[in-house]
Amino acid sequence: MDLFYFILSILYGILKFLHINFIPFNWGGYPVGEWIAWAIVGLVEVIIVFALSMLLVVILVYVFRKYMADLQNRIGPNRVGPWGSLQLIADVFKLIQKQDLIPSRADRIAFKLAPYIVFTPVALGFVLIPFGNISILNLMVLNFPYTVLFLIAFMIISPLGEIIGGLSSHNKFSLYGALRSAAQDIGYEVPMMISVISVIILAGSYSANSIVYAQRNIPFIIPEVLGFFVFFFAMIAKQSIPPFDLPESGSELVSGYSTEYSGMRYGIFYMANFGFMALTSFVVATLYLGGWEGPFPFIPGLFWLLIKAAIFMVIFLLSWIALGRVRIDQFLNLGWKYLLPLSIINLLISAGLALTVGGWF
Amino acid sequence: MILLYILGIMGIGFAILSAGSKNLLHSALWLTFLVVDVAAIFFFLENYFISAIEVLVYAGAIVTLILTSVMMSRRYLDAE
Repeated sequence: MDLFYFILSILYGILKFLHINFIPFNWGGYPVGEWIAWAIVGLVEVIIVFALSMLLVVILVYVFRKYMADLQNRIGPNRVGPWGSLQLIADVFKLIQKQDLIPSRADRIAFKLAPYIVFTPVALGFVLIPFGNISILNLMVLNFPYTVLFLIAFMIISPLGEIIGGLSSHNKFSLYGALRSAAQDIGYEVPMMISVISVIILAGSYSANSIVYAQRNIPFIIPEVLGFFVFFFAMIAKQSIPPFDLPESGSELVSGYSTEYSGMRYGIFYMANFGFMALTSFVVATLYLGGWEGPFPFIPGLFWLLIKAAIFMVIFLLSWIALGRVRIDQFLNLGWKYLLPLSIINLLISAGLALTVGGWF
Repeated sequence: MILLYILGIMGIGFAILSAGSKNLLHSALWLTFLVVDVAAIFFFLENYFISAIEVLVYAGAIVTLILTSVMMSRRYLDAE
């Protein structure tokens, strides 16, 4: 049973309980009542996914702070709530109360719009991920062909917001951050797209759900080790976490494009950062580790997907805490001289596999 | 159908803003919105592939290129 029809049946149950007849509400022969019901159900679905993903982000921030403190021989947040678990909510209230400063020379329209351009794709991306199932309830929100293309498209929109935010601040550090952000985007986006294309060739479909189903025998990390390697590096660069945190490097550029942002506008950038960490771990788990497919059919698919994504989240956090930063020319060398040829080799390998033993996968 | 008309009118508005804006960064900003709007029109016409490719090519490559060249221009940096 789809999530859509599950919520629709709940809605009709509530309406029947309240003695409201929704269906025969016609307007010139068009079943407007049904359309309104579908719109409400779609809205509820999206709100549920958004709320759950934001809950995931909150948990991720808490885990990050505790883990970082643990590795640095500190205790971490421990005052607000049990084991400091409400610290993030306190932080959000602090950010909301803070004065929202806009520099007098800043470009006001672009400065205000930039955080939303960064944040909206994260919220949209979670809708496209196949979350598997809980017993008979299928948790896929949107199931149409070309889901993977839309995931990649959403990942590509958000760096524009970073560049616009950095440019509109009229600040030298922010300008450097935006410049590096643009260079870094061009550096990793091309290898990332080529490695995604090789996954699409091997699975024979653009739909994320079909790609997961194509990995029922053998996950794509085994035939496409190179592609996984390239995509993983590109995802670290996408989130701009160390060792590739060049656009927002805290020690040299004073957090780059978000230098001038304060209050809740900075909070939106922060949420988008952690949201992308969660989203990219889900995407890597879906494309290369078999998503919701698992060895035991009696364990729900959502559980497998969460475990696989959690492994990547911990790896990303460890990379954030433990590694140093590369220089911008070193990163561009890595992107254009190593990742791009590796991804092209991987594309050739996967094309050969698809032509010879493609049906076996 | 009504949705398509609304998106179309929004698209015309974004195009006029993008072409008529004196500020280079604002032009790039409205161009981004225009691209996403055209992609939404394709999406609601159930042509998903073109919609995704529209965002990938125009928002991913063209607008990034335009923003990079805006960064290089003195006219934007010296403006108030």
